[in-house]
Order: sequence, then C-alpha cells, then structure tokens
Amino acid sequence: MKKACIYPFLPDMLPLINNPEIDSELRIMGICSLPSFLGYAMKHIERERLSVHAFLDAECIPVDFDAVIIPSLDEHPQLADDTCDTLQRLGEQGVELIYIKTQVASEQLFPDVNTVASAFGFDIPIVVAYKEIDEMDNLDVLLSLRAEFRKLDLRVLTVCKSPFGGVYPDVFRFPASAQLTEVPSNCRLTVLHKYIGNLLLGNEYDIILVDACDGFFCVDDNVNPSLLPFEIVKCLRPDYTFIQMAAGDYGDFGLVWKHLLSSVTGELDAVYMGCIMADSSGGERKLLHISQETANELASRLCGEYPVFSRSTIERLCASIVGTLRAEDRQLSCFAAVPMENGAATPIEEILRRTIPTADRRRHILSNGVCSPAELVYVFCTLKKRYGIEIMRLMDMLTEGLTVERLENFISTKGGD
Amino acid sequence: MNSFIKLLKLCTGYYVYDIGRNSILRVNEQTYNALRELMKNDGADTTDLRALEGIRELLDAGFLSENRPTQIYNKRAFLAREYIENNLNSIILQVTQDCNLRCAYCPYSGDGRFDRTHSNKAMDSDTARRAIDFLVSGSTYAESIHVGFYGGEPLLNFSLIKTIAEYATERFNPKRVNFGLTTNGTIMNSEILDFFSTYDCTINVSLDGPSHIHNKNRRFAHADVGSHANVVRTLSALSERGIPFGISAVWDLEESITEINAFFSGNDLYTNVNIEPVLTGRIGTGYAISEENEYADAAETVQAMLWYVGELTSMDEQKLRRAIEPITNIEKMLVPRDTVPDVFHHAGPCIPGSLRLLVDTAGNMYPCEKISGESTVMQIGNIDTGVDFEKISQIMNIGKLTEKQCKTCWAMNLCSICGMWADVNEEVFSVESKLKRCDFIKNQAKSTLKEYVILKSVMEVTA
Repeated sequence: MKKACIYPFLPDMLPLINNPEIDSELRIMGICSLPSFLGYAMKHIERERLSVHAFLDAECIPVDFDAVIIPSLDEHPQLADDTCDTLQRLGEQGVELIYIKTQVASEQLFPDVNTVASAFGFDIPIVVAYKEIDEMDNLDVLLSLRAEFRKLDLRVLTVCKSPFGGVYPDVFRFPASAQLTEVPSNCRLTVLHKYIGNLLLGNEYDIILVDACDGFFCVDDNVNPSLLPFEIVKCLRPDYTFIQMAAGDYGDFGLVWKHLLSSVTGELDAVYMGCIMADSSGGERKLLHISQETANELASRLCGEYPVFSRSTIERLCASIVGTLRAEDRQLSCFAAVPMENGAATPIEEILRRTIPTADRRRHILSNGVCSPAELVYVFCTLKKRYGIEIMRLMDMLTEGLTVERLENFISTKGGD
Repeated sequence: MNSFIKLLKLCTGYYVYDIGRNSILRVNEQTYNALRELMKNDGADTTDLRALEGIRELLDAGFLSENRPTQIYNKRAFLAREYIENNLNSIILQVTQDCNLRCAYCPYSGDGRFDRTHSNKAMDSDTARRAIDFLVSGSTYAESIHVGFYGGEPLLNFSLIKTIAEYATERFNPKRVNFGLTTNGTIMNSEILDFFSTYDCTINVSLDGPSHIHNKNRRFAHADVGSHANVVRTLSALSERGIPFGISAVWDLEESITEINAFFSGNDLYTNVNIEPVLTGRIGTGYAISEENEYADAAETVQAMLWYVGELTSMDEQKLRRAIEPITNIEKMLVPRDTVPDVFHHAGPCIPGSLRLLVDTAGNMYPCEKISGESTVMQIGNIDTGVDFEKISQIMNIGKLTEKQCKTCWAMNLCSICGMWADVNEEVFSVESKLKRCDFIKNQAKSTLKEYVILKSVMEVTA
C-alpha cells in the first residue's frame, strides 16, 4: 500500500480521508494545507493518524510519501500556479502524482435534464442543499444527513460535486501534467451520464440529496447558482418536497434567504440550517463555525418548529423576505439623481449666507454654524459643475484658510476667470 | 400620526429616515412638510395630509410605520459560546501594569475613578501559558493567531514575552502566529531587537510629534523629563535592523495638528503613522480643541470626503480612509429591513472577548483592553474558572438597562454604546452613565447621518 499525502489539502478532500475504503491501494498519511484550511483540517482530522503540514512545508513530501494526491484546482487558479513547480519536482523524483477531479460541469446538462424529467415520475422528497458560504459545510451536512436518513432505513441518493458523495464514488485518476487544469473532456461526460443514470434509477431511493453546487450545474457565470437546482427539480417534478439547507447570515437574519426565496417563493416546505454562517452584524462579514445545536436553534428562531416547518411558516418567511427586497429597492432608488440646485437642493449661495451676520463673514468656512465638511463638499462639487473649477484649486484655498467672504468673492468672479 | 421616523432637511434635499425599515428616502418638499405636520401629533385632523400622494405612496410601500420594538434583547447573545469556544483568533495579555512613563493623558495616570492606576503587578509565566492554552482550545477554526502584549509598558516584562512567544509558536504550530505590542519606545536593547527580528511581530511605537509636543505629555516617572530622544533612538535602531514598525501618535488637542503632520511627513523614518486625538471622554482631562486645530481637522475631513465621492485622488488613501471612517461605519449600519423587529437591541455591543480578549496580570478576562481592570461588571471570566457566559449575555444586553428609552430611540440602528459606557467600577451597571453617553451618541449619529446623506446625494449627481 502506498503512503500518500494530499497536497494542497482542500476541504472537499475530507471524505477521502474519512473513507479509506474508497481506495485500497492508497493509505493517506498526511496532508499539506493552506493556512485558510488549517483550522478546519486540524479540527476534523485525527492528527494521530495523519500528519498535518503547513502549505509552505511542502518540501517534506518526498521524504515521507510515495504518492501525492492533488485535488481539483479549477476554482483555485492561483493555487495551481503555486503548486505547479513543487509537483513537477516531485514527479521528476519519482513520487506518483494522483490528480483527483472533484469538479464536474457540463454545458450539455440542461437539455438532458428535460429528457430526464419526462422519464422521472417518482414522488420522493428532495433535499436541496444550497451553496452559499462554503462548500465544505454543505458536504458535511449532506453526509451527516445521509447518515441520519440511513438510520431510518431510507434509501438515499446523494448528488454532490464531491466524487465521494454517492452518485459517483469512483476516484477519477489522471496522470498529473504540468498543466493541472487540463482534464480529458470525456471525463465530464462520464460523470454526467452517471449522474443522470442514477436519477433514472431513482426508484431505488427514498430521498435524493442534491448539493446545489455551482460547479456542477452552472452553464455560465451569469446564472445564479442557487437557482439552478430548483430549475432542475422543477423540471423533474413540481410537487416535490423541498427542504432548504442553508448557511445563515445572522446579521440580518438571512441574506441567504432573500436570494433563495426570491427564486422559489411558495415552493419551500422545510428548512435545514448548515453549520457555517456569516455573521455580518458587527459590520464586517465574518465566517463563523457553529454547532449543529446552535444551527438548529437559529433555524427554529427563523421559522418556528424545527426540523419540519409548515408551508404557512415558510410563506410568512417568504413574504417578509420579499418585503425586505422591496425595501432594498426603495433604498436604492432613494438616492436617485436629481439635478443639483433644482428641486429641493439648496443654492450654494444660500448655504454661505445662512444666518451669518456680515461682520462674521471673515470666519473660517468650517467654523461651527457655517458649513459642515459634507456641505462644503457639496459646495465644491457644485462650483466644479457650474464653472468647471478644479477641486484642487478649491482645496488649495481651503488649506490657506478659506473664509465665507473669500469664497463669495471667488464665486462672484466665477473663480477669477 | 406617530411614525418611527426622523426627518432630515439638508442642502441636497429633503429626506426621511425610516427607523423601522432602516432606510433613507428622498422626498419632495411637500411630503416633507406634510410629514412634519403629521409628526406634531397635536390632535388636529390629519386626514388631508395622509391623503397626499407622497405620503400615501410611502404608507402603501410599508414605510412610516408607527411600530416600535416591544422587547429589548440581543439576539446575537446565543452566539457567544460559538465565538469563544471555537472561533477565537486572538488574545491580549496584560504582561505588566507597570510603566516607566507617566503620560498626562494615560488612563493609568488618571485619578482611578473610571480607569486604572499603575502598579507593579506583572503576569507570571504560568498564567500566561494557561491563557495561551485557553486560546488554543478556543481557536479551532482560526486560520492564524494573534497574541498581543499589553501593559503598562509591556517591554518591562520582556522575559515573559519571549517565553510566551516560544510557547505559543510551539502550541499553535503549524498555524501562523503574529505577536503585537505597543511600546512607549524607551526600552530597547539588542536582545529585544533580535526578538523582533525572529518572530512575526507587529510593533507600534508611541510618538506624539516634535519633541516639545511629545515631551509635554510623555514624561518619565522617575525623573520629570520627556522621553522624545529615547523614542527617536529606538525608531532608528528598528529602522537600521530593517524591523517594520508603526507609529501611534496621540494628538493633544491643544497642540497644532498642522505642526504634528509636518513633523511626521518631513522624515522618511515615519512612514506608517496613525494620529488619534486624545480620548477625553473617559479620563476626564481638560483637553480642548483650538479653533485652528478644529479648522485643520475639518479641512482634512473635507479632503477625505472629496476622495470618498470620487473627486480627489490621493497617495495616502489609508489616512483618508481613517478620516472617513464614521461615514463608512454608518453606511454599514444602514442595512434595510422589512419592518421594525419586535425584539431588538441597539447596535454597539460586540460579543465580549470574541475580538480582543484581554487577560490581565491576575488571569482575569475582559472583553478588550479598553475596559478598566478594576471593573467587576465587565469581567467575563478567569483563566482558572473559565468564561462566564451569563455575564457576557448581560453585557450584550446592556440596552435592557435603558429599555424604555431604547425602544423609542431614533438612533437605535446607529448606536455604538457598549457596556463600557455604563461601567463606573461599581457592582452594577450605571443607568445614568449610559444615558449620559446616549446624548452624545445621538448627536454624533445625527451629524454623521446628515453628512452621509449629503455625500451620497453628491455622488449620485456627480456620477
């Protein structure tokens, strides 16, 4: 059995580590992780069993390992560049390089789905996982859900972009080349056909778990990935049960929701909350790993009873989200451009006149009661617009000590022209 | 009509800030005046005003609601455990309470009513190690780690800093560990320079400007002389060794900001300078801003705002970004929502300890280094006994203290009051102290909101 190291470690490699039976020839002994996934790796991997190296320690690889497993780097072009030299060197030193393709995509999927839909007539619940924050969260949840459903003796089909989810448990191997992103084109079709084939065998399953991964379904960059799985499911059957699985944004109780629900209003029956959420309530958006217990509490706060929510609850939620969207539209339009000094805008002369007695007109323009900084910005921009006066010229005056009187004189001569 | 709104009449037009929806709307003069009449709520018949097209449109769209929150409660409170048990990434160790300077504006040099006094207490290595162990257990998901050393003057306990840096590097391996400290720059030797060269350190040195300004406030404890010459020597030594550093300057409001700026911009040694005005709010010192300084400060704000609206380019965007921070902060707070929530807590409180957990010399834990070490109400645990999540919940729910006022406060979405402002070193939080701060915050929020709306309008027009 060959001793292998995963380099660079990405979270979707975790099932490979946790399911060693997938490949009988390899024994994964270590990983080499980017800083951003170190914490995740250290949390989820038994360090007694595996060694965890920082990305920059890749030099240790040839000493300890016979093979290096390379994940798909399609979404990490920079990483592909960074690892290319090391992998080249390892290949030259005789280390076996195993490239694992975890991303699949096909421009031909959509036409085929319609064909599939007409043949697909089973009334089975569908769980749709929504990819919003982090794919590793979805994968974890999918796998844990699958385990839960299997405990109930339900037959489960898992569709996700990891090759270890259930639809295509094969590990695709390719000889690593200098161009790591170059993958034989027939690979995608193979995977695609497996996917559709399994769907056609849907009567073997009680539940289908679908990961709404953009890598799987996206036909181009302009398509909203969250919409695609729903489109597919709509094609399959309009009366399925939807369970939404989401990472949450607690900051405003669900930025996720508004994206999702705006596309599927009225079609959601239940909610499942993932374990990574974005907390943006502090101003900065921060990814937060939460326990399932907390996630459940969050879900129940959002929608009442957990895990099965009534349609009316969801409809209420949808209504509130739609309301939020409308509020946002309004917010955007509230600053619609109006011609300066027309309508409600105050002429700049009036700002300068205000209630200042003549004797005080030699006061600095930023003295209390004359102009606030933003008002002066408005005055400057208006002068620029009206007379074409360069802002820098006005700033020079400001630096020298700008008074109301001086600016009025300046305006009366239209900037001295 | 008692809509939960605030009306703004500005040079760029008429606006309504709908607090429930957290949205700002531009309205015409007629609608504005009608709303002003309606808000008088003096019992007069307002049917005609309500029928105005502008008002009706807003009402139909769900704005102008009269609802207020019915309960003040911080819905994020339950997240505290998640943050502290798994998502920490930094800790600040107060390695000593001693300092060799007695700066006039330092909270440690104050009268101790709100803040702290210097003492010779120092953290021992066992406490420091346990603090690091605490961070190890709580930082599962952190990509990298920050350990800050705080004082007094932290370099007075350099031996501990060195020990802990070694220990933390080993404990967190292979994660990247950054160490940070702010020093008064009077203690420096080759051993310390070697340390800074060896570890990933973020060093901030305090220097207030030219010698007569710096020495006015930053004076040695043992002899009443200024420390400027010592600090400049330290900066030169750091520079010679190629060790990067930043400069923290406290602006004594009575001193010329123009002169301070000229000092820093006239020397290549000073490339990363952050000038902050002296905090007069909590130390009760009598620094008052001069008219000249007020003008210079405001002129800099104008420059930053012109940059913000896209009318100026600048080489020093970092500085301008800092100057515009109140505006960008308020922008972040203005996230629209569909209605005023029933359960609400004003903005302000962080999740105590999640961002800058401070462990003092005795191992007591506080939300951040701004909190007085004498505080009882803000102490959130101890290295030995662990984190007191009940206390954290109380701090996060500081709004309950003033529930009646908070429920109807127009600035609830824009507030920045945390428990610190209700802490007067007594056994319980002080309502009076918090309300005193409320007035200041409301004035500040109103002023910043107005500036923000003007700038947004200018941007719309000039786009």
